[in-house]
Amino acid sequence: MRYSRVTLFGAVAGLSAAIAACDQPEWRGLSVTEAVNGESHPQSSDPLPQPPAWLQPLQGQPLRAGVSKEVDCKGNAENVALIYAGQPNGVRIAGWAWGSDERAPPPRILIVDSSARIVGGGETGLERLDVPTALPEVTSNYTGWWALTSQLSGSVEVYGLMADGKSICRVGKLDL
Amino acid sequence: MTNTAAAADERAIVVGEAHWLSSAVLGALATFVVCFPAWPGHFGYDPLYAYRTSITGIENMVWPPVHAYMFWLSRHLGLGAGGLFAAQVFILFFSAALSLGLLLRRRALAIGAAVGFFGLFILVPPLFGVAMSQWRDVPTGSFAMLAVCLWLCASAQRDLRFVVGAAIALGISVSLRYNAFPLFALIAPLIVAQPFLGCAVSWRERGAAALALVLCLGLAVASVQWRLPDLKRVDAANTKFTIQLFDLLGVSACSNESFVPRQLTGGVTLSGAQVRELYDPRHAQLAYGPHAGVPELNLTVPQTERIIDQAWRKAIPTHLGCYFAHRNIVFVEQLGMEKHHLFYPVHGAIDPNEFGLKLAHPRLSAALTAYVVEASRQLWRRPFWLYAFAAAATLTLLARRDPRWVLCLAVLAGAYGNVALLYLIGPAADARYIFPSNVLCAFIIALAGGIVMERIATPHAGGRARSTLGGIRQVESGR
Repeated sequence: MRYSRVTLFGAVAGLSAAIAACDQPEWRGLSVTEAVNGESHPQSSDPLPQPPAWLQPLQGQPLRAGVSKEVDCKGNAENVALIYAGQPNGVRIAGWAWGSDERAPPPRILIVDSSARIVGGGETGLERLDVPTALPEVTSNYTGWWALTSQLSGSVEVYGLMADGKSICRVGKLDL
Repeated sequence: MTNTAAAADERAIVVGEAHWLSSAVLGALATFVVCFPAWPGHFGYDPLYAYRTSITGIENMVWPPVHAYMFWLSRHLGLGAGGLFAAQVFILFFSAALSLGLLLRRRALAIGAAVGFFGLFILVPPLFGVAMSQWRDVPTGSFAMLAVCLWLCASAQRDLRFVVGAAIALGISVSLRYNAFPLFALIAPLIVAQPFLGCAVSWRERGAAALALVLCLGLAVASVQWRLPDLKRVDAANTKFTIQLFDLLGVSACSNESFVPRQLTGGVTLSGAQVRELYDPRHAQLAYGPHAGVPELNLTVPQTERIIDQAWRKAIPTHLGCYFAHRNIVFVEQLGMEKHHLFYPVHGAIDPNEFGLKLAHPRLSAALTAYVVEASRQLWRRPFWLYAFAAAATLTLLARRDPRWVLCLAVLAGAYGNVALLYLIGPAADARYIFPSNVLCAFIIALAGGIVMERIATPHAGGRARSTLGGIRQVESGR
């Protein structure tokens, strides 16, 4: 019996040592950081990617500058999906959005700082099957969005920019 | 019985009477616990596609169509989608309980081991999470378990009809996934060599077993060539390019040099950072769709498959180090060895569908889904431990010269064969892909636990036999 137990535990210990918990390999440039609020976020050593071309003329502009009306949205700004630690640095945030009147996701996303200036943005089109499952009135599977901003702290508000390019809707708020 | 005969009995696998009733009760209880909260089973894209084609007919062979036939059968028996769900879960737990009863000397120990087998589904939550779904990985595992069970029944009854049943179950399991055969890499030859474990077997009986296996495996292969009911040949679907593109992204991310063909990125050569933005070792398809700061991959350009194949042939042989680095990290994700997360341990819902399929108990399903997701974060509850403990258990039985090591080794080889093939061809690290091999490992662990208890209860039972294949034999008594 002793031999059996020794063999069993020896084998398990050996295998366990051989397959210890793994971190991401260095070449992925990914690690997990512990944020101030206690939530952990994946972090990349890469720089913040270039924002979409349509966003570049809007960066730094007041949100309301070219807006004709505000419409209703459902949605959420959920989390910091990735921290870019390269230069320039920034974050990618993620969530979902659904235009209640248009019955479609707003195609573009704007990130606004506390002084209501545009500090980033992104696009919808990511698959989010959980949203129509939870909210039957949402009829698209692609309400997920990503957005980039160089803002690293404080609160940001997220707005959807509707297809007409002039209407916006408030999606949510996120503390970075 | 003489002393010599008694000693010989101690050296043999006890393939005894089948505990049909207690196994059925245990199987039914486990089925209720798994199925009730998730009724009629979680449906993601793949099972919904199979369900749809069970109504509209088979259009292609991207996925083996037997899963769709199962849905068809379930619907035509008036059981709807839930009938298949309950059946696959019941087959899994009933087969495991019956097999454990056939291999352990005492009924109480067999029941304890069967409860332990179910307990592993709670302890290793991805097992439970996947079992709650209609993914084809579940019936693949269920029929693999049934094949082992029927083989043991054949040994207990010395009845070739059970061997034929084992061959049919094996064929069904293989027909459900393109990569399922390694599950039987040693089991199938062993069924031919020893159709009745431990008994003297004639060449005629071996021939019959071989014929049954060849026929059933042949039917499994035919099922992905010709569709039912019109027996029209359907061209094999080429899904190889998905794996090749996954490899190209992995090698590019690792080497900081893009090998992704420019035809797929609108003529743009991606930077290392852009490839890393696209690449996610959890799933090849996570590279598709919009990504921050990266042109979207266009997989509709003419001759996409040829372009990717050429790029793969050029890049992989010259970057083998990065290829294996990429494959390693996919494997790490697949087996749950990544420190911070386990990918996709449960689907947790029924995706929007046109069939009116809805969860019967959404709150209960959500609670269990949350449990699976949360518990899967704990490293000690990840699937890789099943492989470690199953190997340790088999080695221990071998060291103890317990004749049941042969069966355990055959089952273990199947489990390791499954993950070994996935290492090379896996397009994703979904926890479900290794469900069938997880089940086989859980079975070995439950059996080993039963054997340990058996030794504690009867210290001289089981023996330190010098076992060979021929040394495994059926005994009628000693239970």
